[in-house]
Amino acid sequence: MYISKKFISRRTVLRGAGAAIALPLLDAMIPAATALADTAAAPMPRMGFIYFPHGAVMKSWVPEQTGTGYTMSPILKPLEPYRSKLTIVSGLRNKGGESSDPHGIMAGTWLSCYGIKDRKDDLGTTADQLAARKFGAGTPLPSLELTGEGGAATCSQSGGGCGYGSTTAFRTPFQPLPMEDNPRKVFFTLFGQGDDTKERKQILGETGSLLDYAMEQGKDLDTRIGAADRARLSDYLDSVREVEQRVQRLATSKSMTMDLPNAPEGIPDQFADEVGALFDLIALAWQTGQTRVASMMIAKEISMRTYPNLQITEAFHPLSHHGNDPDKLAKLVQIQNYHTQLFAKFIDKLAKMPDGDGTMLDHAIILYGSNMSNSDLHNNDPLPNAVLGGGYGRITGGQHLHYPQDTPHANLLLTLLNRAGVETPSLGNSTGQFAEL
Amino acid sequence: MPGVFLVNDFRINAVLGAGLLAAGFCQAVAAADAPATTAARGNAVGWSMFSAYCTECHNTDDWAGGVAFDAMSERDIPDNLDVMEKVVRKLRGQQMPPGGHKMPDKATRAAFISWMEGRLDQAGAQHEDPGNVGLRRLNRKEYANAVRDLLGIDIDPAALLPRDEPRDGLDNIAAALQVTPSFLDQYIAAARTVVVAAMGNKDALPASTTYRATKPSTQLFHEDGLPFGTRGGIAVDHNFPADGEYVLNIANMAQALWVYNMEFENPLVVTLDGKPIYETSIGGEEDMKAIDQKQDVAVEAINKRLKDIRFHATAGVHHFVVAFRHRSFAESEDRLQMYAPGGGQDRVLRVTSFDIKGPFNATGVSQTAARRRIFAACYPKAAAEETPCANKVIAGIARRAFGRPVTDADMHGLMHFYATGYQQAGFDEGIRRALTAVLANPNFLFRTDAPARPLPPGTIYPIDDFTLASRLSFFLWSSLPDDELLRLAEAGRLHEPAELKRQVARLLADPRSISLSNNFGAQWLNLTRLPEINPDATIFPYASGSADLRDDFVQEVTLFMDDIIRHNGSVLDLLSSPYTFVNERIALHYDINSVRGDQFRKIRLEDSKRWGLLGKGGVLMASSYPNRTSPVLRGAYVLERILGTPPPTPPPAVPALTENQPGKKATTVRERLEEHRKKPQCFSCHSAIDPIGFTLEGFDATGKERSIDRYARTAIDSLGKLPDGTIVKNPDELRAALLADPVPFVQNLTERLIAYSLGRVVAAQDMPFVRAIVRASAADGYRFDTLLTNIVLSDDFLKAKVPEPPKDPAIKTAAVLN
Repeated sequence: MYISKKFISRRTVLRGAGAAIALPLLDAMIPAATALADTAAAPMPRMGFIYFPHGAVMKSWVPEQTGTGYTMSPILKPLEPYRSKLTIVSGLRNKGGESSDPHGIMAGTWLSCYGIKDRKDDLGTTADQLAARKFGAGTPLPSLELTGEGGAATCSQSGGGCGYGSTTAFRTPFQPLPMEDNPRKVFFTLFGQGDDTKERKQILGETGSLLDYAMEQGKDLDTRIGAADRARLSDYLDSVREVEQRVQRLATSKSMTMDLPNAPEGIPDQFADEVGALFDLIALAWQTGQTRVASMMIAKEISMRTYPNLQITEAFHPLSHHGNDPDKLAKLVQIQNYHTQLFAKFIDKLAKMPDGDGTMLDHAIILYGSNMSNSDLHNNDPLPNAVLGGGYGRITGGQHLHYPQDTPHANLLLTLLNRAGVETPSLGNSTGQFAEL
Repeated sequence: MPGVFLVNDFRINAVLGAGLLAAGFCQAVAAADAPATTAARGNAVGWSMFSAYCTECHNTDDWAGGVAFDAMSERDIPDNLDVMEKVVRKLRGQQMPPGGHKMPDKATRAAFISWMEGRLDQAGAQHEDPGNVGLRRLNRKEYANAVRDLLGIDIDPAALLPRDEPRDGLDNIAAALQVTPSFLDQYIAAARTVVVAAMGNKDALPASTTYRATKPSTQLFHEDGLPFGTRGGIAVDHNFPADGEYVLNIANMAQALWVYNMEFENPLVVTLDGKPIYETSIGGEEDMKAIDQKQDVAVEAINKRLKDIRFHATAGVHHFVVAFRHRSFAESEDRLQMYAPGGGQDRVLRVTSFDIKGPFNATGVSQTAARRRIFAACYPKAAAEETPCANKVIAGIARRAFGRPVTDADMHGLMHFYATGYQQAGFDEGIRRALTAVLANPNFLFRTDAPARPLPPGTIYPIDDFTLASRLSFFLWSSLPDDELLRLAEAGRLHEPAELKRQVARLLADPRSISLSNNFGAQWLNLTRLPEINPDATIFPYASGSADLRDDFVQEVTLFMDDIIRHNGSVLDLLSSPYTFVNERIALHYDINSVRGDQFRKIRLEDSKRWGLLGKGGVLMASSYPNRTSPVLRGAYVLERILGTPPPTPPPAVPALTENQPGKKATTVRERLEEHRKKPQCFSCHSAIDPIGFTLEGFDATGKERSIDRYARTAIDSLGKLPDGTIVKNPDELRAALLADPVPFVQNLTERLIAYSLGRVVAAQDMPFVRAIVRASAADGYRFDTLLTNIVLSDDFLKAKVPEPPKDPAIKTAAVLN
C-alpha cells in the first residue's frame, strides 16, 4: 500500500510522520470555511440517510415510554445530548425489504420500500435520490454515497445482482450508485483534483475539455451500435453530462477560493477513524455547499468485522444470528451502541457548526436506521428508526412516536421528504404521512 | 425423432397408475447396465419421470416453485429451456425430489438426466443461440492491465477507480458494469493521473509518498523480493517523476526511553535498483548506553540516522529497498529469543514505513521504461519532426487502446489535444494531452460485439475479427489485444480455426495468462473473500497478526493453478495434483519442516490430504468463519464451486447454530449441526450440504490439520457423504469420489470460464455449447489447452445474436425454481 500527497499547502503540518491517518478535517476547516448561509425564502435542508446493517436488538433500541418524557434506550444512549433534535419512530414495517434473500436486498430496499421485482417508473428509486433531484440542481454534486466498509460486495442470491446488497442509493430503480469507502477519493470528488487552488483550477479546465471530447466521442459511438447497447451507453452520456455540470458548478463554487485542508491520505486502518473521516466529509460537503444529500452505510451487510476495541472477537454477522443467547445479545447491543457513538460524534459536529441563523443540526434532516429488525430472523418489522435534526423547524423533535403494527416504513420516508420540501405524493408502498413528526 | 415423441406422449397419457409406473421403472433400470445403453434407457424413462416423481407438487393446483409439469409435455422442452436446465441441475445436485419424498434410484436419475440433456442439446442444435453481450466497459483490473500494456506503468486501480459490482461471482459481467457520474468523474481523473505518471514531469512539484509495511511479517527473516543477505524491510517500485534529488525519511525505530529491541545492532541498508545508497546501524551497546545516560537526546540522535537521507535518482520506476543486513546466527542474537507465534518479544527492529520526497532541483526527465514504450515509434530531434512524430506516437497508442485501426476522425480529435498542449508547453505536453484523451475516449472504455451493419433482431452473425481479438485477449490476459492479434484481425485471418488455435497457444504461453489464475481463479474459488475473514487471533495465533497467511494462501493457489495451465495439465489436476507451491510459512502450516525462506517453490506433498484444491489453506479458509470451521459453508462450497450445483438459499427466519457456552459441556460443530438437521425445515437441504463439509473437518478454519476438537476435546470425525449417497471417510475419499465422475466438475469450470470470457451470465441456451465443449475435451483427459481452445472455437464464443424482444413461453410457467 502506498499513499501519496503533495506538501505544498500552507497548512502542511496537519499530522506528524507515521501518525495514524485520523482526519482532523473539520477541526482544520471550521475557522477557514465560511458557512453557506441559505437566505432563500424556502431554505433547503441537508438530508442524510445513515444505515447500519443487521438491524438492532429492539428491546434495547425502543424506549419503554412514548411521548416526550421517555427514558433513553441503551443503544441510543449516545444521542441523549441531542434529545431535543431527536425523534425516535417505532413500529414501522418495510414490506418492500421482505424476501428469502435477506441480506442480498436489504440495503437496496431501505429507502425505496419496494421489492426488486416489477420495478418501473420511480418505484425503486430511493428517497435520497428523490431529494437529490430537487436539491442537487444548485450544487456541484447532487448527492454523496459513502460506506464505512469496502471490500467484496454483498450480493443477492435470487438474481438481483450485487447492487441491492451493497448500496442504499438507487438513482433509478435499476441504477445502483456504488458507495465509496476511500476518504481521499471522496475529497477529490467533492472539491476536484489537485492540491491547491491553482492546480485545482488548471485540472478543472483540462477536465472540462476532456468531458466535451468524451461526449462527442460517445455520441459518435452511439450511431454505430445497436438499440440494446444504446441503453447502456445512455448511462454513460448522462454521466458525462452530469459531471460536466458538476465541473461547471465546481469552477464557480466557493470551495475554489477556500483554503482547503490537505486531502486525506487513504483509507484509515481503524474502523472508527474511517467512519469518522467519512462523517467529517459529509459535514464538510454540507458546510461548503458541495452537496445537500448524503447517504452512508456504517458497515456492510454480512459484515465480518470484529470489534477488538470492545473485546468482541466474533465477527459481526455470525454474532447477529444470536439465537436469543443472552451473551450474544449483550455483545450486539454493545456493537450497536458503539455505532451510535460514532454517529453521535457526527451529530455533535453538526450541532457545533454554524449555518446561517442557526446550526447545521437545526437545518438538517437525518435518518439513522436499518432495514432489518431482528437479525436472527431477518425480518423487517418493526424497524429501528431515529430522526435527527430540526429541518428548519419543520421537525418537532424531542419525542418517541410509536405507530401501530404494519404501518409502512415508507410513510416515514415520505414524511421526511415532504418536510424537507421535496414534494412527493407517494413512495414505494406508502399510505400517508405522519402529522405527529 | 418423431417416434420418440409418440412413445413418450403415449406414456404420459397412459401411465397414470402408480403400480404400472413403478413396474415401468424396474424394467427400465434392469434393462440398462452397460453405459452404451444409456440413451435407450433414457428414452424408456423419459418424460414420464415427471409424473412419477415431480407432479405431486409441481402441478397446476399447487404450482410449487411456480412450475407445473402436468401442464407440459415433451414438446414444450424447447420453449422452456430455463426450467428444463434447472430440472437437470436440481437432479444432478440431488436437490429434487426433496428429502422424504419418493426418490428415483441412481441409475434412473442418471438415465433421465442424460435423456433430458439429449433433448436440450437437440433443441440447441435446432436453434443455436450464442446470445448477446452488448456494450461492455473495462473493469478496473482490466483498466490497470490495459494501462500497463499501453504505457508501461503499473498502477493501483483501487486507488483510482470505484469498485466494480460483481454479478454471478464475477466482476467482469457487462450488464453489471454500469457507468455512474461518480465512476465517470474518477475515470476521467484517472486518465490524467496515469498519463502524467507514465510520462514523467520535469516540472513536478515536490511530493511525498509514504510506504507502509502491510505484508504481515515478523521481519525476522529474508523477505521474498528483497536482496539476498537482508532480513525484514520493505521493497517498493517507486515511480520518480523526474531526474533530481530525493529525500528519504524512515519511521523512527528508537521509540522510547525504555530500551526495547535496542540491545543488539541492527545494520540497516537502503538500495536503489540493488545498489546500496545508504547504510547505518541502530541499536547495540553504544546506543543502549547513550539512551541510558542521555535519554531523549539520545533517542532523537539515533532516529536522526533514519532521517533526511538525500540521494539522486533518474526518472521512472526504480526498485527501492529499506532493509536490514542479515547476520549469521553466530554473530546475531536475533533468534535467541524464541519465535512466539502471533506475538512475543523477539528483539529485532523493523521497518514500519518510510517516505520518499521529491524531486528537488529536477534537471529533466531521462529515458524511462514507460517513455521508451510510449515513444517506441519515434522521438523528434528537430522541430520539423514534431508533428509527424506526434501523429505516429498517438496513432499507435490509440490503435492499441481502441483495438481497431484508427480513423482520420479519431486522429482529428486527438491531434487537437496535441496542438493545445503543444502551444502551452511543447511536444511532451502535447503528447500528454492527447494520450489523456485516448484514455478518456469511450472507444477505450467500452467494447462492443455489435455487427458492422445493422441486422434484424434475432440474426446470428460471426463477430468481426477485431471484436474477436479483444474477446480473446481479455479472456486469456484480462487486457487489450497486442499488435500480432490486431495485425491478424486487419488481415482478416484471426477467425480461421488453425490461426485461432495458434493464438490461444501463444497467448497462454505469455506471462500475462497468469490472469486466468490470479483473476479468474481467485474469483471462481472465492479467494476474493479472504480479506474479510480476519482469523480470530485468540483462537488461531499461528495464522493471524504477523503470522497472517492469507496473502500467501492466495499466492499458493495462483501458482498452483498457473503451473497446471502453463504445463498443459488436465483440469482434473486442480482436484488431484500432489504438487503445490509453498514458502516456509505455508510449509510449516502444512506440517512440512523442510522448506526455508519466504519465496515460493514447487514441492511434492507427501500428505495426500493436501492434494488438489480442497487441501489448500486458501480454499479451506474461504469456506470458514473467522472463529470456527463451517461444514455448511464447506459443503456448499464444494456443491457450488466444484460441482456447479449450488444449494438453494436458506429460507427466512432460520435459527442459527448455538455456539459453545462457557460452563456448559462443549460440543463439536458436527454435533451442533446434527441438532440443526433434526428440524424438518432444515433437513432436506442440510442433509445434502453438511456431510460433504464433514469430510474436511480435519482442517481447522485456517486450513491447519487437526485431529481433536479443541473445545469438546473429542477426536475429529470426518465421516461424510455425497448427495448421491456415496460414503466418504476423509479428504482422499472425497477427492476420489469427485474424480470418479469428472463431468460435473469440468462442466462447472467450463460454465464459469464461458461466463468470464464473454462477460455475461451463462443462460440455458449456452448449456448445449457447454456440454459440447466438455464432450470434445474428454478425449485427451481435459487438458487445459484443449478445453480453452474448444471454448474459443465454440460458436458461443465466435458468434453473437442481435437481441430480440423477449417472447412469452408457449406455456405459462413462472420459471422461478430456486
